[in-house]
Amino acid sequence: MRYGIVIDLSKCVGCNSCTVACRAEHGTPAGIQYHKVRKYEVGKYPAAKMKFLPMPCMHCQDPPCLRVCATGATYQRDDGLVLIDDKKCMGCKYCVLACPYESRQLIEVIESYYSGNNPTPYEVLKQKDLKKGVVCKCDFCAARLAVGHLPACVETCPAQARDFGDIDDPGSQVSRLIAANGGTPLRIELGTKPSVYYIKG
Amino acid sequence: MFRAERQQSWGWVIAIYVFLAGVGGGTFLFSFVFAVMDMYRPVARVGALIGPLLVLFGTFFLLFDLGSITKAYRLFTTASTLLTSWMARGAWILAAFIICGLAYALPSFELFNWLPWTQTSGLRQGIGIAAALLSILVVVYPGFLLGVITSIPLWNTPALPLLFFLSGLDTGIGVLAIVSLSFPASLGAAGFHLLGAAVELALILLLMIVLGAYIDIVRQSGVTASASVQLLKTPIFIGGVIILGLIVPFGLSLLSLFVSDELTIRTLGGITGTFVLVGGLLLRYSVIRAGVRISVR
Repeated sequence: MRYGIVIDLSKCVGCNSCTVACRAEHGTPAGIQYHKVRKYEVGKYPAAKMKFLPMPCMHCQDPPCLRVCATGATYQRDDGLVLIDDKKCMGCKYCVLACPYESRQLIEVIESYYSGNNPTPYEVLKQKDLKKGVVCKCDFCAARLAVGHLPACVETCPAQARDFGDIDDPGSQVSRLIAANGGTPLRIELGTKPSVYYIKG
Repeated sequence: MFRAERQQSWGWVIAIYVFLAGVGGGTFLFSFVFAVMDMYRPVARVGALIGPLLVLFGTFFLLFDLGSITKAYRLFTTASTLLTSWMARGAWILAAFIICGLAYALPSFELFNWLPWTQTSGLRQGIGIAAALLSILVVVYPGFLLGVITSIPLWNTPALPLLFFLSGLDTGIGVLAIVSLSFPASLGAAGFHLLGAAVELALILLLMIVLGAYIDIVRQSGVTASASVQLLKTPIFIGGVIILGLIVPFGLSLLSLFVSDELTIRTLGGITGTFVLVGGLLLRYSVIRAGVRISVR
């Protein structure tokens, strides 16, 4: 059993709904993003095109962040999720450096997303368990999974570019999509074995 | 496709720590060797104390850089991380060195006569050997701490521990050259600066070779790494590390071999030591700041 996401880049329109859904789900403070959509250009003018690369945490099977963690704060569940126990994290940022996908950030301050204003009641509620001085990242919406929901980014994608499921099960929808479309993870040569696969756009 | 970006997580604070670990370890190692060879006793006695104190001072910088300092105790309560994390290993190496180094150095000061092991006891010599071995690890391990980060090619090279080791020794002898200024020849420091200059010359030469090879290997290893090398082309690296930290001390050490006046030799030794220390700090800072991450795709 290993949870994973497949993202079809041919369907992604770069709308950042996934980023916004992630922000809303976790109430992330200003400057903290568990999910990003990176933009890049391909081709040369006049045939240049803008492309998008949505990036949640890769939840690697062999995560470099886990290997370097000195306090046991980073751990891996049997379902493949790589999580952070913020009660154990001392904020050394070693894992931030070790992650080749730049999925991790240190929470230095907890400020409202709406700069200069007090946190909204929604932010107060969502940020009540957030701690300063610890590292954070995408957790594949572990709390939503626990009650049978999909990760917020997967559920919200208006282009239906994402699928979520057990990538260890060859019969799952996510595995079939990967197999049928030749999905590959990012920087496979690093040996991190990510659980996020991309179908070429 | 994506622009490679410079890491933003570690900066001056970690550079100062890595520098102090190198200087402290190097100072202790030379002091212990001099003590065993029964040479320059007053310098070796003070150096053996300064070494662990510098490393202890450095660990405060390490702690200062943490986001949640109150959880640092977990470094010593999560033994399983020792199998994989150089930060966990480093914490134990630092703690063991500081304890053993001080345990070795203190009995030679009257204030600590009450300690159960005396200056000449076998136990103290045993502790000294352990501390000397640990001091090598203290100097070298930051090279592994950075070296295992595969996402930063400038760091991810076996040359880094060697570079830090040579620089640790180089700065260690530099500290002893400065310390010995307070001990005139009559107190047993005669000839120290001449030996110091010779050791310094050999170390700087080795450092130049390793640093040159390091940059050359990194430059040829890929786009990201060569971007790092470009970032090394700063006044801090070229002016501070190469000119002030290597070329000037090399010239001064060479000069002191041909001078016969004791006062001039000592002065040159002190100035060389200061330049070497500045170069050692700027070397750590330059390497840490020029760490460019591989692109995510």
